[in-house]
Amino acid sequence: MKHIKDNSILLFFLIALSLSACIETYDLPVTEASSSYLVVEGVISEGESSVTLTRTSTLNSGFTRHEKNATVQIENQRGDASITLIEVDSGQYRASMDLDRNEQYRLKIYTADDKEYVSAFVPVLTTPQVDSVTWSVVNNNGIQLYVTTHDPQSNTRYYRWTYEETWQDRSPFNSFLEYVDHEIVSRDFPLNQINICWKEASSTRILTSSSVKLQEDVIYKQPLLFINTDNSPKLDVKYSLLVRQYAITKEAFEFWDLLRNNSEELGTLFDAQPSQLFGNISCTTNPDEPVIGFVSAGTVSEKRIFIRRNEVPLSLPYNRYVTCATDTIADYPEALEEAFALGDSIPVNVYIDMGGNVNYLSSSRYCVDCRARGGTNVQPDFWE
Amino acid sequence: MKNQYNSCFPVIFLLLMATFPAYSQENQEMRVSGNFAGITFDEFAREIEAKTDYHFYFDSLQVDTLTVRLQADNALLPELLRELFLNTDFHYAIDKQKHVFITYGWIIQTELIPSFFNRKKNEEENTDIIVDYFEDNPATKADEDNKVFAIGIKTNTIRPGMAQVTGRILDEENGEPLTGATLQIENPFTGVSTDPLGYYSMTIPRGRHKLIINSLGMRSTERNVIVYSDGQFDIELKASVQSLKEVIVEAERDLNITGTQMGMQKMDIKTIKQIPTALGESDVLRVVLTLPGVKSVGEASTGFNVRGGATDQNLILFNGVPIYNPSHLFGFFSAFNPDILKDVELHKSTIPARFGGRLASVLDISTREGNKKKFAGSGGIGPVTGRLTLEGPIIHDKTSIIVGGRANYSNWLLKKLSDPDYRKSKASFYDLNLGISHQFNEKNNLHLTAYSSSDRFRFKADTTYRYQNQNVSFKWKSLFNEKLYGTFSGGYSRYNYHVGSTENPVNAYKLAFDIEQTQAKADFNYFPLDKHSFDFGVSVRHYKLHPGSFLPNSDASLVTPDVLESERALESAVYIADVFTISPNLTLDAGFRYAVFNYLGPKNINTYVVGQPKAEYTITDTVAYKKNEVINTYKGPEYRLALRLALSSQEAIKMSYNSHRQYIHMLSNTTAVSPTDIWKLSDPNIRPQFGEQFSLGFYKNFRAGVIETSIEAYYKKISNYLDYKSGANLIMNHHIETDVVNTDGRAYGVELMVKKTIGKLNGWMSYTYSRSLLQQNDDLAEETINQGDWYPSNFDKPHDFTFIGNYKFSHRFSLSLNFTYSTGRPITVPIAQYQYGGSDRVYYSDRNAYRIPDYYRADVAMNIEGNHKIRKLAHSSWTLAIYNLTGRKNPYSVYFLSENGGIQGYKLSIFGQAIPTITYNFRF
Repeated sequence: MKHIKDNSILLFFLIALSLSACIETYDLPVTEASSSYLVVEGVISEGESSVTLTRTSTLNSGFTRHEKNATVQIENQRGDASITLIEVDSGQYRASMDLDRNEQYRLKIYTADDKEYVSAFVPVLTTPQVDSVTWSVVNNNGIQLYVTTHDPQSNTRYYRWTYEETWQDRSPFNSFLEYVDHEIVSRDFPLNQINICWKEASSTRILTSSSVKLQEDVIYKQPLLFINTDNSPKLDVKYSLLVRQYAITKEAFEFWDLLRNNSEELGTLFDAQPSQLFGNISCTTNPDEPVIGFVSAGTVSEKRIFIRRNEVPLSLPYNRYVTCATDTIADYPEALEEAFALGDSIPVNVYIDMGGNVNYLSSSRYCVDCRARGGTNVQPDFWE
Repeated sequence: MKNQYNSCFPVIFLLLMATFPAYSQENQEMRVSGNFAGITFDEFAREIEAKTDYHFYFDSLQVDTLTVRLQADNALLPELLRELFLNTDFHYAIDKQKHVFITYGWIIQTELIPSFFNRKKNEEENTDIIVDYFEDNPATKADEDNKVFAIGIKTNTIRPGMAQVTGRILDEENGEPLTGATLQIENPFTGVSTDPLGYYSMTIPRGRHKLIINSLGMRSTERNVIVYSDGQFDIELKASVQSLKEVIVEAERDLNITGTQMGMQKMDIKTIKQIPTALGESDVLRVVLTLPGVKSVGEASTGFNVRGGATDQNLILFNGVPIYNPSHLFGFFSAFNPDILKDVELHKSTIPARFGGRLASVLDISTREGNKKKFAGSGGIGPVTGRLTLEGPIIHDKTSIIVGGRANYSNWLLKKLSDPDYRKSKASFYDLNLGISHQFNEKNNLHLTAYSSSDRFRFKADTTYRYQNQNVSFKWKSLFNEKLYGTFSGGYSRYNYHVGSTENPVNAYKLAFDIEQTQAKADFNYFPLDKHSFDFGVSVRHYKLHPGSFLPNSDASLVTPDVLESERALESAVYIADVFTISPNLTLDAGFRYAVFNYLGPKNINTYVVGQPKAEYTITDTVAYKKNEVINTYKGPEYRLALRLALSSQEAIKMSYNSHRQYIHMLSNTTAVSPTDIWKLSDPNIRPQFGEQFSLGFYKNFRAGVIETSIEAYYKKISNYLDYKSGANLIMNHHIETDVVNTDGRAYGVELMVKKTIGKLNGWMSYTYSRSLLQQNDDLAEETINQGDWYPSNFDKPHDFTFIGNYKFSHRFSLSLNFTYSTGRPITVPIAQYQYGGSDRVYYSDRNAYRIPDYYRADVAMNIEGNHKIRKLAHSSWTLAIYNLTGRKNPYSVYFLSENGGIQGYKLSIFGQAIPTITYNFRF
């Protein structure tokens, strides 16, 4: 059924487009400051469980309110096992606990304002392995990534995925020099290399699928994301995708599906009415108080793939920073000081002119230091 | 002067003066025999003059090309002349003193126009009259306006008392019956209108009367009659003078005063064609939306909402058989070919007792009968569609056929898109109509129609959407005697959709839904007494639905075949209604309908724990019912009452009370009707909807019905309307009752309308203030919408103003202007945001608590006719239209998306710019 929905959206969008439809941005409505409801996001997992507590905030407020100093516990249904999570960062609570696959667990939260919240008891689901993460070129302007999995026991049926992307970002100029203590010195490779950075991004869309309508518990080539190579540099050097797979219950699937319908699948001719979102957490102190969130429990399966530039049969640009250019700086202290002291320009290489004079080629920090464009120059552990 | 004249006008004027004294003379019939083999017209004329009292007047030079080859055997002269002049530009006219005028290219009128002597005799008026005589009509029947017709068995003295006059009103040109034509007499002031087959029946005092007959697009006609006793009197009306593309908004002229009907609008195809549309194609449903009390959630959406009713509460009848999806291309076009339509009637307040099964309105669409006299055709070419209609007699004056087709060629639009996915898409639709009518004799006729519409949309290369309507109907009308006639009709209607995808080989599926309805009806009209007119009848409808099947679409597909159990039901009804004329000024229309709905097996029905919400975990039992076993029965009376009090011949007050029951529901949790919405019958777990409406109206006409004004107020209550739980899945749901909640509705409003029906400037203007509110009324529901308070429905747009105007500059050029304003529709907006699933997301609060910006739009259309020579191969016209003249980006929806981790609000406009179109229409 999901596929019908996906296509419908595009389809109806298309019709709208084809008939001189237009879509403009629209300011969020100004609403009165409403009560701030508790938002609980987390998974009770084998190993480390992590729960994030936040509050709803008024529209356009631009920040997330973390719920600090709460007591967060995981307990089992028998009532003989319980653990209190530790707040490792504001609103982030973590703890490690062994889970009994035959038990059900729940989350219990006491907030700083003396309210008690509990989730429903949820079963511990065993997530099957990810079979493969694959990709293919679509429409000659990018690649579509897919996940394929199956459960031979046909127990899972409902799946959710998140992913983390990591890609290398290469500066147009590779700097071999550094300006340290008013002097040009050789750059220390690989420790101080600033030509290649690793950038990261996490999934922002809700990815779920179900095999209930199939004879076997198979998810074949579930679309994860599309990378448009016309405007994204992710595949320019090397790219990696880590897919996390979660087996979820039918109720959790419905929750995520509704959340997606309410926030991602609008703007067609046939929009569904945004509907109330129900999770599995309630406030026992004030049963009428809405609580947002759905807590699941189970194991997680992961799969990482790499895509090198030369594997992608598309003509990818070598340099997306076409405005980057080099300057020539003469080798005398005042000129070097003027050019490099503030750090907004970085020496790239030595250039000896026709007269045999030593000069330095330089360029702006943005064009040389990949960190200026976000990312880190430290290679992640998993990188191969 | 004999045989010769030079200048037209003085001659005509003389003739007019000369004929006047002869006004009351009897027009004796003189017969001619003889063999005229190849003689000149001059010789022919002399021969006739010798044999009869006729005297010929003509220009010898003009007739010298004419050779007479005729065999006359006791023939009437007009017949001979008609035969002689067939396919020429010659015309003849015979006045009462047996003067025969032969003209070339134009016609002499031998009679004064009616009421000539009531006019002020000034030069200007006379010029007008002369112009009137230049019309391109070969046969002139205007003299019938002044002739006195006898009805019934002639007696020397007329007995006092009432007599019943019945008959048909027909279009003189093609013999087609005129529906909704009105007949009136002035003393006592009474009026009736014709039924869908052109029949009328009125009871009037014996004696002399002047009958005034009006019909859409036809010339207003008068007949002087002397009623001796009960009798039959058929009347043929002529099309209005400017017949090519006249725009007359003459709907129900004077019927608003004389009839008991409230909230009824009727439009003929000419009105419909006048109104500019976005894609250059005349569109019935778009025009219906301009009427007061009719709204929709947005442009280019399929459904419409009448007086606060949901879209599934409208009964859309196409030749009496329901249509389940009246649109093409997801709502951009209506599914009805404008060339084949005759007229459209919308009942939104007093719904006649013969209709039943839906709460809000009846939209009764009728197609034309084919031309019974000659072959003709028409068609048009627009930016994305083309259409062609052919019609003609099979047996002259008895049997006719009409065939119409329409198809689109919109793929070029898709090819223009930049996205390759879209370029691979294809859209196509067509609709076909066939109509056969046969008149057995004056008392029996038969009308058969067939209709098929089909839509196909292929998205990318691997997903297809198809939906189809199929519809056949027959109607046999029989006049048993002057007091009783009956209509026996039957029909079959089917709607199905099919979605198929092969995009993912493992998930390749095909999804299908269909609904079939078979019906039979017998309707009778009976006029036993002077003051009563009864309608009564019975009807039976059989429904069969296949609520869904989900099947693998390829060998590799792992889709588990899933087929929902079919549903069947029988809806039977009897009704009786009496229009009781208590006094000429006071009429009561009392209708009663009793419907019985049987839900039939075979089917498995779930029973649920009493007092608990219906959910999978509260199912207590599943009962299997056998084939044709009655699973459960709903029944109940429906009342249709209306009272009319005429304050004068130009003013009336009316009030009405109507109740309705509805046993079929459309399941849709989208704001606009989508092509994959499904229908569901009432069953033990889904109760029928019930609605009641009270209305009160005041009607006043000015300038003898030229300007009609009305004000109507209504209050409406609806119960057991279906709403959906959050996240309800309506497709392939094995227990839909667990996903719905019962909702009550109420709606109220005031509709003001001013209508100018005839003249160079015509059109209407309406303003509506209305509200439409819903309230969840389900004690067992786990969730409550807006805390159980009343909230506005999706189409609650309190203020609505519409202006539809047409100005005719000349016979060949007219200009139409539309203006529409309405309050923006309600939407649900977020009140807070939070972070979840890697992105900011919005938190929605009360449903429909906010509104999108107001809607206003102006459209303009120009109609340019070719010249009006009658004997052209084809008549053509061009329509140039600009939709959304100001290019205003009217919002269709406002929505908030989580994108790239943040939240962005958007406004979607369907027609975000002025859209010019050009359409070529022709007829032959």
